[in-house]
Amino acid sequence: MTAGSGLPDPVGRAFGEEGKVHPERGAGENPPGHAERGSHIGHRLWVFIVQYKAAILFTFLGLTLIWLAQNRLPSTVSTSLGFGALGSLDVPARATIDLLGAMMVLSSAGSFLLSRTQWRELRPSYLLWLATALGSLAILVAAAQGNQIDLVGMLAQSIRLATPIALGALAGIYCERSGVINIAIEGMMLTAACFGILGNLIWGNIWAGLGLAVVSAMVIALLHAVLSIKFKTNQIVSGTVLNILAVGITGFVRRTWLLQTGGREVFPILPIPVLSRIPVIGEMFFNNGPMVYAMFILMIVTQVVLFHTVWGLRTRAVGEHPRAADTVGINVYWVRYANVIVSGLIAGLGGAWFSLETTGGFDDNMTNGKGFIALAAMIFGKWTPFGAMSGAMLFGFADAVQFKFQILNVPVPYQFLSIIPYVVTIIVLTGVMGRAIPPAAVGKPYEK
Amino acid sequence: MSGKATETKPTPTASRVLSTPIFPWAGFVDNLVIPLLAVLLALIIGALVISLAKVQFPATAADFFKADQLGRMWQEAITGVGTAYRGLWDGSFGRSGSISETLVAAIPLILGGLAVALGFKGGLFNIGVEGQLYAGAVVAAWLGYNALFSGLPGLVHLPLALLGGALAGAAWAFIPGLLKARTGAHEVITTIMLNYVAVFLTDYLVNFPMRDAGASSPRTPFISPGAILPRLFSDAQFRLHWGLLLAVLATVVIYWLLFKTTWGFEIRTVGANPFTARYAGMSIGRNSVIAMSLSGLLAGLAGAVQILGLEYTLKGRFFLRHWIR
Repeated sequence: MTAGSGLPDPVGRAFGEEGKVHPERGAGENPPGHAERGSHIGHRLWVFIVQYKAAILFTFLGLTLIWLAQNRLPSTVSTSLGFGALGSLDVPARATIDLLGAMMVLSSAGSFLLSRTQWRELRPSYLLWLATALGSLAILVAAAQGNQIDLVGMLAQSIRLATPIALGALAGIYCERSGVINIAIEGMMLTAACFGILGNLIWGNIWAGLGLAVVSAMVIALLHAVLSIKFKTNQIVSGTVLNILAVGITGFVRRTWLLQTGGREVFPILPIPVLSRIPVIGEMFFNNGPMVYAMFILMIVTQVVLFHTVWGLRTRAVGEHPRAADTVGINVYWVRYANVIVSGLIAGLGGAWFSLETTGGFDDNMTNGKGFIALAAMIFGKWTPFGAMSGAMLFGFADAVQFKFQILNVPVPYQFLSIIPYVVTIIVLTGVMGRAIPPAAVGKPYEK
Repeated sequence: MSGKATETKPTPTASRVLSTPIFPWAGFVDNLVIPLLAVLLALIIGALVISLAKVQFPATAADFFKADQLGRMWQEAITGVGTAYRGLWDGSFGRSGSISETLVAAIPLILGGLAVALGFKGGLFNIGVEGQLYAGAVVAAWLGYNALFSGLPGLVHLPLALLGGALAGAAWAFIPGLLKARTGAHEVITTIMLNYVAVFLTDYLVNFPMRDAGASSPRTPFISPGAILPRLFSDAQFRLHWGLLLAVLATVVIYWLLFKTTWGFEIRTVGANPFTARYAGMSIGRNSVIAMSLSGLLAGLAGAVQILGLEYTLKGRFFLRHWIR
């Protein structure tokens, strides 16, 4: 049995693994007594739908978009697409949406056809991503009818909004790769956001605030480590409790010390000297606050550390098969402690993004579930740094679209726009884009 | 094989340490003494934090150890902690009517805690009780105020509203249950996401389609008298309502369901050891969905009881506000 095929222990089983006991996964896997699904037409149709659900969904969405454009949009309206410093382009809204919708249908059909042939090695799922991008663009064009949308600006904002999610996801990767579920990322980020402001207030220095933010998140991480590694509490319970603790502590600190904070200081924007002048890329990547750079650097560092160093190998070994790791002399507990605390450090940077880089103040519960979305991004990225980053970008983009819609006064109540990122999270977790297999030992306390 | 890593030796819990001949009542120790110790420890830590916030620390370190300064700081800490804990006592037990308020606040917690416990037994972490509570509250409020039902006698209207709320909660919990069973989406995250969705949707409903046009702040119309869950006492200062008995009844029913029926046995088996359950021919997916839905049923009931017994109208974020206040 491979490492990923852990049996379905409801506590130990981490995210997205349970499909293995799914009755549709081949009759051979079913225990005796289960009704074998026959090969009748209804069942085969169902299997077909399940297998190609994404392609079917996107074809349907593309056709819907075209239909809506034909029926709801006047043919004269045009939308202006901005490309940052490169200027803008006026396009007729209806024709553009028709074109994008048609391309969506084509790419979905292409992915379906590719996966039926010997070319399936080409990863037809990329075509589905293309369809996603086309669909989003079409919706934006429709939403901004008669107005301008700055695409580069939106992508830059997506990167900024993706920062806490990506940092949280990286924090989750360290933790879960070493075999500890970390639901407490939300709590760590919230604590860091609050104590960052407090540190700035105490020492009058925003970098000192960042220091306190990171340390406070590491303290929460240490608590999580002690609870789940030493005392072997259920890691989900421990994480949930720490989240509640964070809400309590930060609420108390805010009411006690942060109510009369004066100026709202935030990190300066640090343009990278030459690179920030490059038209589109410079605007998006090299003209940001320190946390955004920290995210990019940490992403690369994590990739190197996890897959190209002894430390990373040990971490992964401990997360996959702690007993084997122990047998060859790796101190399982120590590796887990270290990784959970590193996870706290990174989550602390993510928390500092909320208060020190964005608003300059602290509000109750200001992380707003971003810590959980980060976990979804981590699962989406199959526990790899670059994958998690792309997941975070997806959520950041969903967030940016939501803000853009609110600015554009799209005639949809804001509550519906606000739920977009959460719904995207659920959809991503259902594995529309393929199944994710967590580290085998995640969630299981190690007993010597 | 990965399953080997899960072998566990008995953990030295407090009960095992203490259940030597000196303490033969292990269950008693775990169930009563440990929570009491936890509360005591929480009170001590709380006192420390309150003192930290209340004491005016002297400007220099040298002043810190002067006797008069120490005395002053001690006095400030004692006063602060005393005021806070007296307030806590008065608000929960001390004054007339405050025991009633404590019980009123406990009702949704009993039902919600029951919902979480039921999920736990089935091996599921239902963090989404809040969202399911909102779903229950929305449907209960709608059934309560809608003119369509206002003519009904109380004997029909109230159970209808309660049942509607409970079923709405079950439906809201059915989503993560089904996603879990079908796709393996982890219920902890999906339920948390659905919490946000439920809160935002309630906010929308209360602001637009269900809003009472005559009210200055966004809320639904008041529920009709037939749907009101009556209070236990006629004295207006006691807000305690029949929801308490409903909650106790629900606890008994869930106990019976979990421990005396085949359904409950299956749920518990799946929760305790899915390998065994699967080998015995129980469907893990089906039991997950059932456990999750039942859990949501209780949460939805909590929401319905909160509206029909206490609030009589639905406001956006009513439970959050209740929580913070």
